[in-house]
Amino acid sequence: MLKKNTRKISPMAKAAVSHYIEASEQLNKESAQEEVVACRTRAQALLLTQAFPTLRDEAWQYTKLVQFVQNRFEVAHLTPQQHGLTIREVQSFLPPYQAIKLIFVDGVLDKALSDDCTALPKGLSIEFTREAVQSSSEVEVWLEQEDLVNSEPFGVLNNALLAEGFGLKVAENMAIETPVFVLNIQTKLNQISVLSNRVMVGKNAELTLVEHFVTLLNEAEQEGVEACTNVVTVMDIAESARVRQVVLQQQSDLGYYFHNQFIFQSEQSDFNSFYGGLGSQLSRHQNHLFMNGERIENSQNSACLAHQKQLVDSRTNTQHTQEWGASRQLHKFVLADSAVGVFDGMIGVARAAQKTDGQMDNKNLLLSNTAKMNSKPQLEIYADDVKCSHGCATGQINQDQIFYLQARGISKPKATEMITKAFLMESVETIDRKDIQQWVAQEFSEALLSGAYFKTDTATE
Amino acid sequence: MVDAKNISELGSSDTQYQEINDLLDKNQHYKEGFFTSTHVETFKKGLNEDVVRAISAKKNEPDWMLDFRLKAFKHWQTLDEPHWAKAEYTPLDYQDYSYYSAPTCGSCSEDGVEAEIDPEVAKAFAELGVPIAGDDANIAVDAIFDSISVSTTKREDLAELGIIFCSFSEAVQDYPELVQKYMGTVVPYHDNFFAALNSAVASDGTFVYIPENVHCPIDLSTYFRINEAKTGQFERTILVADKGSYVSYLEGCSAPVRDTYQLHAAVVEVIVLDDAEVKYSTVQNWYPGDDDCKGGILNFVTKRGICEGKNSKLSWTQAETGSAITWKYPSCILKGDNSIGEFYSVALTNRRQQADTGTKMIHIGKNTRSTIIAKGLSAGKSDNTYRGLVKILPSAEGARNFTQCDSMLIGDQCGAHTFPYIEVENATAQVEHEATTSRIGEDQLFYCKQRGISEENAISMIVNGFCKEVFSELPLEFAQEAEELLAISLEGSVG
Amino acid sequence: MLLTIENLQAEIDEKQILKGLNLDIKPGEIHAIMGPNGAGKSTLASVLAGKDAYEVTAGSVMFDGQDLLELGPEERARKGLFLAFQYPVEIPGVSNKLFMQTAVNAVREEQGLLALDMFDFDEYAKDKIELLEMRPDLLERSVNVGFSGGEKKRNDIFQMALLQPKLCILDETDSGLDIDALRLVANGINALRSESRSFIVVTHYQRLLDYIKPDFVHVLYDGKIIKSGGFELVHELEEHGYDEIIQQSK
Repeated sequence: MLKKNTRKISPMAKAAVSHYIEASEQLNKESAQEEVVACRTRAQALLLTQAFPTLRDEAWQYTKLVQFVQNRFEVAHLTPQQHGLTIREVQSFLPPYQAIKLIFVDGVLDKALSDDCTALPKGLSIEFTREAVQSSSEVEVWLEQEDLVNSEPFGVLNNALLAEGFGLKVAENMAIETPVFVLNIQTKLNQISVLSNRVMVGKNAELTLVEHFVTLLNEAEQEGVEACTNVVTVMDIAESARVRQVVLQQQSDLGYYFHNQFIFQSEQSDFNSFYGGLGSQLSRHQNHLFMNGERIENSQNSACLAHQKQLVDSRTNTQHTQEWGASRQLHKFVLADSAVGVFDGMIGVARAAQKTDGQMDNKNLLLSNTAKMNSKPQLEIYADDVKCSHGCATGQINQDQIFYLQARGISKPKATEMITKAFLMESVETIDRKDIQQWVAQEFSEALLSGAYFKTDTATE
Repeated sequence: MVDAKNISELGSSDTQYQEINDLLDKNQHYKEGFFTSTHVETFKKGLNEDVVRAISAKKNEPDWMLDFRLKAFKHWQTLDEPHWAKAEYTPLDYQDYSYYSAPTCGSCSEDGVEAEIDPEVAKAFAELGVPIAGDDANIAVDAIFDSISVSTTKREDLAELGIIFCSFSEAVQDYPELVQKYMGTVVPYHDNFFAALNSAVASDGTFVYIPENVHCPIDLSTYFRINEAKTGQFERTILVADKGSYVSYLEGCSAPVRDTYQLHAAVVEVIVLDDAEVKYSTVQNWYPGDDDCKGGILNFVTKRGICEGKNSKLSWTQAETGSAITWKYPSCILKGDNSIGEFYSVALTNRRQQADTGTKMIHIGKNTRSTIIAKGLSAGKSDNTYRGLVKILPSAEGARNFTQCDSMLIGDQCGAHTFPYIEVENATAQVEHEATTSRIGEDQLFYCKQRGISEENAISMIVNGFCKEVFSELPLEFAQEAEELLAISLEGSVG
Repeated sequence: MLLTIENLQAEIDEKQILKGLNLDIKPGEIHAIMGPNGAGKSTLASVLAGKDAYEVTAGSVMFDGQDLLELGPEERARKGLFLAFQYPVEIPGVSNKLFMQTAVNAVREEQGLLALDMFDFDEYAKDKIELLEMRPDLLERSVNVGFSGGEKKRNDIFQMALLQPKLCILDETDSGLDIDALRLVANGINALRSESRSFIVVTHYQRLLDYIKPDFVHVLYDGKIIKSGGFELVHELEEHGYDEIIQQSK
């Protein structure tokens, strides 16, 4: 129907595209199975015709890629160097709770830093994308959703550079108590970490997955590096399985972060996810959730905190396709300085999805007069016996609350901090494992304190 | 250059009676679906620069108006028909429409000013209940039949107050400075595809000017009627409320039953100056088409107002029940400090109707406030979409918006969608948006029935209750009409 | 006989709730139906009013000389059967006035009476609003929207007063009411008592019954009436609880 004009691609974007195609070609020269090579090649072709989205693309109208396109990020996988990181340097990024740790440095698996993957709890198996690409018969599970992944521009880039990442598999009826903790550390300037992950949770099984994205700070200047992370996670949650996922994105303010998750839920399964977006100059975390069965439950929540010129983009697309599904969402943004927040949520209810109960809330706090919030909470409904609602509210801190705290002897910046923290915590508290929840809460508290959010000269004055 | 006389074929056609009657049999629900047989002058189908010039010549327009049309036409030719709305239609063949049609008879003078009205046309409006004879004390009417305004009542009474209420064509002749000052200032000719088309081929419309500190004592209204087959209606309405004035303006519309899509691409511009208030109400009951919505009106309308002055207020209220496709976003640019924008909407779709409607509230001035209440009712196999933008610019200190979108689905073959865009660039703003989707509850129906109320009555009661907040904003007569329309439009959707 | 229920059996979602219930009610009588949770009390009320979700699988119900089960819920209402709901339903945007004027006129039409216009209706409703001490703006407010629990129950009794039914079924009307609201509701009911009007009062507490003193008390358990008696049965229940009666019946 839609008459598509042939895309005009800027010279800058063209140059970026050929840079990544060349990197993809180089990967293809390494030893890899032919399906993988074919997949990368198809992605190259798409990249060539589509390049990167611009503000004219509806889904990117608030998310400018101008800066990103000016970079030529290098694929670390192609030039593995000694990063010289020791477990001690990594320690500060590790959580205080017990976990099975997988550590990637600039998108390259570091087996030495990671936990021993041969001694895993019964029912859990881990395979790495790198090995699957080269030789494993399992590689096809990485490629299953190729077309869907290619529906997202950064999915295309991910497919073109498919080489690293992890695969998790939980066998039927096995509940894995210990969380799997995946860390990616950006250490070098101008690198792109490309992770292609595959998670499969069997019938009635249970998994907790924590992903942490960070940047190693230069010790002298306490500055991070301009580097990019591009992740695709494809997750299958089988019948009656339960998955808990927490993603904490704390890259340095110079970084880029693009994460596309494609999640398929089967009947009576439960998916509980939380995204904490604190870092990067440009970040975009996106859930594509397909509820392919009856009586599915899920909750997708996020808390984003940004200052200076950061852009934080969090979005969900939740498709109810069968009866009795229940989806819950709470997305909170706190924006200071000239930060820009973007929330885009879609609840789709297919004709067959009667008795759907979908609820989506987006609440935003602007701490400065130059901060911006763009929100698009959407409903697309084709079934009549459903209960769907969304709410969205944007405003500044309630001055009555500040005054109330001041009247109890608390300084204004402290009062502002307390209220802001409480505002974010409502979302953090949806993480239903206390140890992880506390860890995330702690990270937010520290970010609030260290990020100069509550200078007295902000708009909250 | 083609002469207007040559291009206009005097189709003095006692047109296709049998065909119309057959169609009417198919569409008994649409009571406005009759066709008026009269002598008409209709341009040949097709659109090119000559047609634009011919329309202008036909209306004896000054050069500046022709220039405006030509500029718009040139720009329109560079544009693509928009298809982003949640409404599917095959691209239109713009050469397959006639761009000018007017009733004509011996006694009608060519320039249309204060001519005696064609008796057949008068009869048509009488049947529609439109008081074009000026016998209703509380309302002044501008009646538009296809491309031209055929009657404007109470002009003299209004003129005593300094109020200008006339057809757009007359305004071009009689008040060229005012028209030039305001036309295209709120909706520029290059605004969008349909606005450009309208600017090029604008047929007629209404011009209203309320002078400073005048409270218009009666409602002003325009009734639009598309009669000829394959004719587009492209009216242009300009409403200016000068400082401290008030006016309530109503518009209603209908069209005969046809078997091919008819096109309606109107542009409305409202300018509200300091301390003035405009209430703009619409009951849209264009022919929705047959059971598959074939032949219904394509309603592609650009309505926009600017609250230019401080403390000004613009309120849009609409009840949309007709048209095969509705594409309409009455908007407010809140420029003046403390200005207020409101949008109250009920959109009902049945059969295969598609409505994509909503509003834009652009907050520029300090302490500007806006309220959006949108109620969407979907029945049959229809799709009903709310699409809206609330934008708070950095200058809009203390701006407030409250939005509520409620959808009700009647039956399981329809769709209800909500696509809001909320952009906040000022921390002191307070923006709230709520949306819900529901259906008529089984328990509500049982409760009504247990009190002896029939199912049909119960449904109509619950539906009207759902729309109450919006209907209460309509002038009384319009509210009643809207309630009745709702009942008629819902016929056959429940059972 | 106003109401004759014979061997009534009914189920919901394929689960049998009423398992052969018998009850006779003469004009002017007040019958209380008591019983523990899940006995089928509310089901009986809903089945008599004609709620769709319930399916009658056996038995018969004659009401004022006709087969009640053949009628739709609105026809039952027009013939004079009224149900005061356990949970009165909210209808946003529909005023009590429109709602009840429509209902009253539907019943009047059935009786061959002329419809009441706005003014007649206001007049007709006035003293009934006072009787139940409802807020004067009751008629303008949306049906049950923003009402407290007690107000909702009183609104139902107010509707009952307007419709002047032959048989009033009160489904746990006393639940959730404070003492003042309970007194108002009881007053409303007592004011409606007459030679020709009968009541079925479904409850599991005695406090409402103390106010209205029923002629007959029935204990419903597992879908059947297991014991019937006079008002004294209320006190017996109060003293010994349901268990004893249930044991005796086994």
